[in-house]
Amino acid sequence: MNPRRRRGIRGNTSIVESVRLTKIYGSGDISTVALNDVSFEIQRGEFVLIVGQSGSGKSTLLHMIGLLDKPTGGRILIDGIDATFLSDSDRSEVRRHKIGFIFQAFNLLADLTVVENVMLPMMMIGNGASSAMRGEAELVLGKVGLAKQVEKQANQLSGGQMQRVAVARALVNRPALVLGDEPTGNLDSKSSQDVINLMKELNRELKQTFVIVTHAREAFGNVDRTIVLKDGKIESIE
Amino acid sequence: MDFRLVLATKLLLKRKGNFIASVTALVIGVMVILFNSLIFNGVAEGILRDLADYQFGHVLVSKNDGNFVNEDLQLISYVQTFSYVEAAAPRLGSIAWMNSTEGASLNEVDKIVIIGVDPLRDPKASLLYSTVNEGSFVASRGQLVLGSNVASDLKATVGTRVDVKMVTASGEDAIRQFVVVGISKSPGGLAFDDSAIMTVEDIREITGRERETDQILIKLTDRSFQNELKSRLSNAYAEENLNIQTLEEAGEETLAGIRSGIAFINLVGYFGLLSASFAIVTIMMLMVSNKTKDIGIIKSLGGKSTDVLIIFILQGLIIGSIAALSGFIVGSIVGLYLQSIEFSFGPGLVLEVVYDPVFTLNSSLFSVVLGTGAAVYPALRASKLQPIDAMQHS
Ligand SMILES: Nc1ncnc2c1ncn2[C@@H]1O[C@H](COP(=O)(O)OP(=O)(O)OP(=O)(O)O)[C@@H](O)[C@H]1O
Ligand SMILES: [Mg+2]
Repeated sequence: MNPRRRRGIRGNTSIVESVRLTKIYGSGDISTVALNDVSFEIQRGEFVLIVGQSGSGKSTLLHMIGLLDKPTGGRILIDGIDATFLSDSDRSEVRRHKIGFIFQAFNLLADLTVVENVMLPMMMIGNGASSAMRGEAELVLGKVGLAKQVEKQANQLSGGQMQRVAVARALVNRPALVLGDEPTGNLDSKSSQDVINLMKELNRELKQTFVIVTHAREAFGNVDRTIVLKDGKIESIE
Repeated sequence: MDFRLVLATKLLLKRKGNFIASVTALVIGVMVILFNSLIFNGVAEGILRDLADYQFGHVLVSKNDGNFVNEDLQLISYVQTFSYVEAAAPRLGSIAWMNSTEGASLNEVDKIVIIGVDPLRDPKASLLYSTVNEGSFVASRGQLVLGSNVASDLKATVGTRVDVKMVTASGEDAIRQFVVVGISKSPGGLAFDDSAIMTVEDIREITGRERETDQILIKLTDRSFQNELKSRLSNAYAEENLNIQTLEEAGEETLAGIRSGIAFINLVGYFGLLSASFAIVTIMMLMVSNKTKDIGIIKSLGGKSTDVLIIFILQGLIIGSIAALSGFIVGSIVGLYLQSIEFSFGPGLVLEVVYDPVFTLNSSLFSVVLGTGAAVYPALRASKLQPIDAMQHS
């Protein structure tokens, strides 16, 4: 990995630093500016919400932070490492070890069981599957209320259940940075609150950083900061 | 178990359709090679077998300078002391003109090849006698067996009298009358249908070549002893200037003609294999493209391009191995079956199909190479996608 670390403004290393980030989809007449000159920093251990209207660029921003896509302009730094200088393989390495991602569309592997989906991030880090991993995966699945579903095929679950599997998969490795794209969007208010409580608990106890896109910021109560996006620009940081 | 192997098997086995299609395409590819080789070798072996049975025996002995005179029986007695020699018989060839007055008209044939046989020894060393399917084989002097084409040209049947003219050693014509005792029709275009058979004694007497023999054919209990017998004979008769030929050597000319035909059959076979390969690559592309979203998910979780590549190459390996196993089983069944029956394409040559387990295994293992190779290109392409692009692929 190319260690072009740089110090954050306050001397310590920010977990996320976005520098004049721009993303343009398509080209010419049919191009969409999804992100326009977006700069911010997120410190280790912060719980941050990203809000904004539909189409304001929330998902796009989260994908950039998660190194899932490349920006058109500007730079993204994860844990002080400038992703611009990383090879695809090194970007995978960063995702594998530092980031857990909860997708808006869940993105489970349909051919795997629930527990296999959750074990996969662990199997990628450790060498292959072990019973300890299975135990760990079942534990996290229990915390999101899916203890009874572990052996089910992932594509046989309801939308809300899939979302909770996606949450479990993102959390199981205890990554330093958890990115959630409406992680409670498909859940009833009870399950939604359970998942939010779990994330806040992990944030408090393990100092994991959470960056969560949501349409329901009230449900999260007090958070460290909220970034408000509008038309691909930062409207305010509260 | 490595996560790539876990994913390779899970992603493969949960989608049976593609899996079965690609295994089938590979098995067809293997079967093309196997069937082709069974036929290729079957034709060549069938021809050699017929040449051995009817024409040359397993070892054919002649003299480089003219014919054996009076020494044929001595050589026959000598070779029969070897345990692997089943029988040996002398032959003497000639050319004849024949006519018959059957049906009130004069029917003539020119330049017919006459095979002179020893009525007692020949049936032990050769299957020539078995080509007679009407009447009987020559048993004594004055008897004649006609090839079916010659018989129809002469309008001759069993019992017909035929005048036979040959040229003597001193260049004069000699004519004798024979009785047709049999009509011969041989399998697989051995050309006996255009010749005739009489006793070696008659040819010697008519042509004035007393006690002469031009070929001795030797039948072995097992063809594999032919080289040993050849070297024994050349040592024992070192001063005699013998021409000792194994079956392959004697049949070289016949086989050469057939080989170009077989080469063509083989070419067709390899085109079949080529199209099977294209089918496999296409199915693999389809499989990978169906998995593009999964590839994106795997990469989003931290999977690298090489991991994706390994997953699909492992899949090719699994598909190839299962195809190899199926190909080996199916190929063995087909091979053993064709070996057990008298397989032929219509009347004529019966193929001598020999099932070869080692070759069958090797050809089957080729599908592992093919399956893995076919997976590389689509996997390479898919592994290059950005995770988001792959996940949004529909
Ligand atoms: N792959 C893409 N190709 C082209 N345009 C895209 C693509 N993805 C997003 N966009 C566009 O970029 C803009 C921002 O999209 P984005 O998905 O980031 O919005 P969002 O804030 O997540 O919206 P929502 O709340 O509905 O999920 C939108 O105008 C969208 O149409
Ligand atoms: Mg979105």
